[in-house]
Amino acid sequence: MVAYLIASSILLCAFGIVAASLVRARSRRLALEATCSRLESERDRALAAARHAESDLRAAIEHGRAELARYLPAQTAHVERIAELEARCEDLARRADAAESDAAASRTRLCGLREDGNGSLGELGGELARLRALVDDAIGHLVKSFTSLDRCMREQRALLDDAAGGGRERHLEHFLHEVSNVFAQLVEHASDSSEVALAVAATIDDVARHIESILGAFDEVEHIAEQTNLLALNATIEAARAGDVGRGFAVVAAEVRKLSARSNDFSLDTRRRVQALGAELTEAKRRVRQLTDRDSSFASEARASWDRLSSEIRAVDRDTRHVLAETERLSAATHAHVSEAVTSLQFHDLSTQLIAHLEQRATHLRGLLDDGTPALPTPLRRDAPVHQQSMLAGSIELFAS
Amino acid sequence: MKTILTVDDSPSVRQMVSYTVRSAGYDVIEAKDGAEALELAQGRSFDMVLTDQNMPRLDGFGLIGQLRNDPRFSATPIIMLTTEASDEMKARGKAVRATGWMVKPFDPDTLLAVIQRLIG
Repeated sequence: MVAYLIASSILLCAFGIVAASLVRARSRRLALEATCSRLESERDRALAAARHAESDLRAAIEHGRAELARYLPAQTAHVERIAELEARCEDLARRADAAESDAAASRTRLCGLREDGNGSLGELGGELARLRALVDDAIGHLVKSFTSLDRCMREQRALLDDAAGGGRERHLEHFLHEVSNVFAQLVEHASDSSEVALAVAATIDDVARHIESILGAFDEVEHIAEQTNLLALNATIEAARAGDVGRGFAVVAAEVRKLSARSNDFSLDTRRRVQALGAELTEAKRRVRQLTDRDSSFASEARASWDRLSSEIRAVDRDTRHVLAETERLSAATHAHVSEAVTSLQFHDLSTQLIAHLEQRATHLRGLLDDGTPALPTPLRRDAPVHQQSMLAGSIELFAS
Repeated sequence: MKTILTVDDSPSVRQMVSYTVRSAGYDVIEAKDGAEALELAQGRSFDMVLTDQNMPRLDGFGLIGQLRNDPRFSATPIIMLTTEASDEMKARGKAVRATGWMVKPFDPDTLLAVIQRLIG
């Protein structure tokens, strides 16, 4: 019973609940229907709006696609570039870090190097000054040497021009002709002399013959003297026999003997002199004969010798002219070399300017090392005043006026 | 005899220019910078001037500028003989009315040819 009552209660409750629920459901259905119709009308509006929006969206999408198609490649490139830049930034950052640590180390080293550098720069200045002095000294001597060489060469060339110049060959021919004439005259004179010598030799022979006859006469004189001596001796003997009567005669006979002896002495002395004269004449004749022999061959030998000599002179002249031509060629070559040397010697001016520029740089650097400010009041010229790479002659430009 | 003024602070260049032009029969006067050249030019005139650019006291441009203001040197041939070879420097030379520009080192025969052409 209780269970029945409980079940009935429950059913009643359920029924009530269901009834209430039905009422609520009806009202809710009505409400839902109203909502549905509102929603439907809203849906229709929304659909219309959606369609409109869809068409706008499609247009926008199309436009967007077109835009995208235009910008996409650039965008891609930008993206790649950005990626690359990012990578480089990272790399730079890494390098900056590394550089910073290097810089710290370098700063430490720099402090040490600054002191070394200052010392080295001071030495560099001194060395540059010494270098400049050395180069100045050397170049002075070199320029003097080369200009002297060139001067000597010009003088030599002038002399050669004089020697090889106008009419030298003609002068030589004239000279050879003149000498030939002189030789012809000489040969003629030699021939004349030869004839004279022959005549002299004949005369000497005549004189020699006369001398021989004179010597024969002396024999006669000496014979007479001897005979006279004998006669005087006999007279002396006869005078002695005659005694006192013959005393006077004996004196005369003694005087006659003395005269005979003197006569003999005189004859002997004269004979010696004439013999000496004869010997001298013989020598003179020998010499004249030598002269004659020499003169007779001299003419033809001299002529042949002169012919040989003149052809040798012409050969020497040809050689000389060849040497002159060669020397002239060498002179021209020497002039070219000296010109080249004068061009090259200007290295002194170029190097001096570069050294001065180096000194300025050293001074500038020293100032920077000392206190971080340049020592020079004016700004340092960055480029050197000399750019030549070789000692080839420079260009020339004449400006139009 | 024609006289040439050579202006250079390098003794060796003065020596070589002098020797070269003397050997061709010209007379030469030497000055070691622009200021000395101007002093020399006060008392006399020259048939031609050869000048360096970089010199102490007064450089080549300064010298040419002052010489050109003097009526006696307004038409005198003035050649720059310098190591400078840039177009900018040449333009400055032209602006101060230099007659021409020769870049060092010079060849003696070429220098003589230029002189011969300008003053005979």
